[in-house]
Amino acid sequence: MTTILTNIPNYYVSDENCENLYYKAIANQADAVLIGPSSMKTGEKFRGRGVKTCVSISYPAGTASPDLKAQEILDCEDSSGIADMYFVTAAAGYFMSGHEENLREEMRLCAGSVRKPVYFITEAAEMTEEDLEKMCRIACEEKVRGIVTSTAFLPYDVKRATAAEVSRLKRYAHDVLKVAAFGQFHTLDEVEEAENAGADIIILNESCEIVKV
Amino acid sequence: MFDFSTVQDKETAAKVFEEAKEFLSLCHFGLQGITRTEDDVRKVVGKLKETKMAPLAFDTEMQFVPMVRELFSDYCCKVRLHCAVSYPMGRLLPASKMHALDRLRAIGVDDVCVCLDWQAVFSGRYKDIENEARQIVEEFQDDFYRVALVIPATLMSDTQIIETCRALDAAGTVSVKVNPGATLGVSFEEVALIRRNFPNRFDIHPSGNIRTLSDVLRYREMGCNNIHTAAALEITDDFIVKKLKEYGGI
Repeated sequence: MTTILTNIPNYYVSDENCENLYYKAIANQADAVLIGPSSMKTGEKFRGRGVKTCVSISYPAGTASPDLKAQEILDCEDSSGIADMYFVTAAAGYFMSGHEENLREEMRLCAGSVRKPVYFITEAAEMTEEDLEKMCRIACEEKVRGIVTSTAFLPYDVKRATAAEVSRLKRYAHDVLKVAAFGQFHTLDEVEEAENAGADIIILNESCEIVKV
Repeated sequence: MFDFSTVQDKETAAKVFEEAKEFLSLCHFGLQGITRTEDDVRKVVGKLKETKMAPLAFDTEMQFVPMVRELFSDYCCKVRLHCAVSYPMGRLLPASKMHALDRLRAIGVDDVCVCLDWQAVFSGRYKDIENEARQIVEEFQDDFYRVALVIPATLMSDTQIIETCRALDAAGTVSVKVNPGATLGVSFEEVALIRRNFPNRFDIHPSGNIRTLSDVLRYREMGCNNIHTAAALEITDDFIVKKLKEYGGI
């Protein structure tokens, strides 16, 4: 299982905090860090240090139009070559309103904009089985690498994704899509639960108790 | 929403209605967030339409703009549409913010707020903040009703607030939104600090943690005429009741 450390849900992120994220990833033997586009400059200092860099797009709301999300990836590519992969927040509410075509468009444009893996972040706990099935099917067709269970952005008043959402997504991922668990992990047992549910990737907030400082 | 038909003196009712209309016209109202659906937005628009008043702007997300505009097309008042860019943490690259603003201008959104790069703010990179703000101001300030730049004042020291405002001042910024909401709420002290250090300089938009009529009235006394509160309609109701009590309508 792949482990990613992140600070993207956290409000207070300075250049120093961002450097510490990389140091924590190295100390905890995490495979990658997930940062916002404005942190890429700091990330460049850690190139070649054995930690991959994932960059979030349209986080946390995901409400930009599909072409703007793809443009955001291109802007990141133009500004820095540090990103190894991208994590795009899907327009979940719009998709749940019946706009399947918008999800397809954003997946197609984003995955097609760069020769790097592109994952989509959603709020799986808010979605019906039908929504999840549709989302995973479109993601497979549009060559998206994987789906993330949640934004894990605490100010949002949404139902929080748990290991149950990992299981639900796995049902439709058909071993083609990776499933990443992103939520409030406080104990190793919770991580294990997500892993047992089939998570291919665990995204841990750097401030959670199980990350060694 | 308050039912004006319950007021016996029609003249008083009309007077208070006009005052309430003016009161709500200084507040934002709307619905934003990742899982908001078209149905959610329709309900909130419906709730606003019952008031027969217009807020300063209706806050929505980019993809809902055509639908919201259509929903207000038969409304008695003109309603400005507001969208946020890089909300709430400002982590988009400056180029991506410019692309987003360009799109909002193209689709006819009237009013915007843009979150500054918080990492630059917390790292004391004030020149970067000034450059980002200048780029936005020069390209877009005249094209929207307001282009408010958002600072996370609650997470900043007084020195950081002053230095950031100095950078915004140098960039020619007019409107500063103090906090984004989303659990980060404004305080009277933050607004007072900016007012004291930059007298008559900024159009300050307090946001978050504004829950009562007395909060809104106090920010208005402090010279804020652009208030972000999720409770705008409830507070307007309280304003109506207060006014009717004053005029003897209740």
